[in-house]
Amino acid sequence: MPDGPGTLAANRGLFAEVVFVLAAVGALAFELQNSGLTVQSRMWPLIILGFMALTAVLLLVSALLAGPPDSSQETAEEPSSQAGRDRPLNRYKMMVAYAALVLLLPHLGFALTTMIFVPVASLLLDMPLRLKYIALSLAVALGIHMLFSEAFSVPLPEGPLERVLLPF
Amino acid sequence: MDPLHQALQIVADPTNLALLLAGLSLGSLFGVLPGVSVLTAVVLVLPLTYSLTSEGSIILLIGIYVSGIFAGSTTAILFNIPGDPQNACTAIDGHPMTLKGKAAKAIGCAIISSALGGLLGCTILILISEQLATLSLAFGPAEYFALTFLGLSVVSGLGIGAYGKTILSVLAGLLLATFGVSEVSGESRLTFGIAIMNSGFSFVPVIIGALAMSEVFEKAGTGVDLSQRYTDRVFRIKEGLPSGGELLQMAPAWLKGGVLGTFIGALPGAGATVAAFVTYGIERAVNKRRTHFGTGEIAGVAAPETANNAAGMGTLVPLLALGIPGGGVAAVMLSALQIHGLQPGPLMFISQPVMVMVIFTTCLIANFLILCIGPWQARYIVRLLTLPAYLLYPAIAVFCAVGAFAVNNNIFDVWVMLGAGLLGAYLRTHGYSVVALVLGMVLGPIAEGAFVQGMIMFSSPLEFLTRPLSATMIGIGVVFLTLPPLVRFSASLRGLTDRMKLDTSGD
Repeated sequence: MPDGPGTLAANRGLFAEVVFVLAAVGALAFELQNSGLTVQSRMWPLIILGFMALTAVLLLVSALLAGPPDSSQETAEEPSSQAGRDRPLNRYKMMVAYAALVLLLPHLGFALTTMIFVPVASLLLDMPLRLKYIALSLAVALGIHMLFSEAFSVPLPEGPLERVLLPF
Repeated sequence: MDPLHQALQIVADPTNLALLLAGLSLGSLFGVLPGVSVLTAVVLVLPLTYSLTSEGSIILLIGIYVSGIFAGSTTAILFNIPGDPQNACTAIDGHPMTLKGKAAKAIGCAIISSALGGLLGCTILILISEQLATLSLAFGPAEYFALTFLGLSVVSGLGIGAYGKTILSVLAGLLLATFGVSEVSGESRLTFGIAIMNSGFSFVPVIIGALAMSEVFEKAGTGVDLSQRYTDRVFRIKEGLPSGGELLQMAPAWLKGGVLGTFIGALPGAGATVAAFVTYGIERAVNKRRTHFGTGEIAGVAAPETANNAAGMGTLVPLLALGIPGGGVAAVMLSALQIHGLQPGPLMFISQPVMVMVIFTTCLIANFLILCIGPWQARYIVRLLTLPAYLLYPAIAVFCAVGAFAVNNNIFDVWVMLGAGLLGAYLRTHGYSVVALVLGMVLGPIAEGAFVQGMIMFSSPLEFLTRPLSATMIGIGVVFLTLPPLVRFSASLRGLTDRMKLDTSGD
């Protein structure tokens, strides 16, 4: 039998996830019940929320009974397909850079934003700080813009600055 | 002119042929690059299809899909790094063949097996999808609900990753599909008073974010540098051709892989990865040379490669016959068809027979062309493994932003895509299944519509079980759902009795 406190500590992450799921389920169920919807509209999401709450609780109970989690059992979505150098901070840098891209997109326009984003993101992902690499990343950004706007005529957001700085 | 002739004319059009070749090349490129799955490739190309004809879009996507399934086998064999999860089994015997100096033979076997698997799968697709479509005209709400339940149960029971977490992922996908205006009642749900939420979460931005952007976020954290691993392993066609004896060794694996792969692929939610693993396991268990598996056995390469390409065709069966996507890529193809005003399903065989024939013809030609693309890819495209990650991932991120924006020309969709990407990245790193989330979101509206209609028709949910077909499908779904915990429970019981026997024998 597993040690109680050791098991709970080992499953801290799962416990936090279950609490989050239960809180979200509660909040959404409350919203559905008090929004004046008909039974037809409420029925399906309430059934799903019920099953989510049940599954989350069963998951936690099963993890507590099984003991400390075995890292070989709970794997990520795909099997590890490469042996690379792990740089977890790069992941978060990319997320922040991308959020900035989405924030700037309606104001600066697609072309300007991507011409800023691609070199910056490349540098954050350890691209060497040399002129030729920065020029290459700018070329990639411009190439993607031309591909979508000219070759495939996909409408892209234009910002006020873009019309002035990049009239083409 | 009959539909087949019209379809052949359409596929033979120079523009469409160019699109097919472009798709095959893109699929090879993305399939070979570890960290960029064929599903990502299809998702990224989706926005490009907005400006193409409906036939051109589907031809391009099928080209990417067919060659992408096969392409990851090259890196699996050469470097023990599968380009996609469905090629993971290929590495088990493929890479030992490389270490023995038989890389060309392994790649040749993979090329032939993939082409045969795809052709066999395509043949079964053509033979059964129209019959299934005709049968499905008799489907009522109970049958459609049961089918979506079966699909989601298969994903939950067979999915990669922790069982309970996969079920949670499916349920989360079903829940995401309920935000916005209900298709059943027309009322706004879970919009929190925000007007833009009335449209809910568009499917395409969620797919792009959850599947493609989350992969970019995850892989950005692992440095990809294969440049030092690429040596002069140049593929020569003569060295890749199998001998008569080797053909005889591979033949049973081809047959099992082709048939099993197609039918496993046709199960909504199962997919090419499951097909490859199951077929490899069976071949390893029954093959006369089973003791050699894992050390470089040619049938160990043939079985999974045949199965994964056959399953790729199998996933199109429920899409075409029933309008229900069998997997992630089929879900993207469903979007591509819907963007062009087409709705796959039984009525498509009556109202759009030419389009159906275009799909069949393209699948046949694309699988045959693997025999041509394969050697070229093994010689040249594999050099692209030296592409630096610091350029690749930002470029893919930009593609994703375009793809999300172009759906409705709405910045809100780009935010949805970012949110889905962050959620997907979290799910991937904590043992949840992103594909299960996406399938839940795709099948959710179908399941809800069928369930509500059924509840209007019947007086109780138990009446869903009174119709033989829906009862059968629900029963099979329950088996898939309960199998993993039952297997685990019986294994722990066995462990307990073994320990008790040891204790009593020690006394």
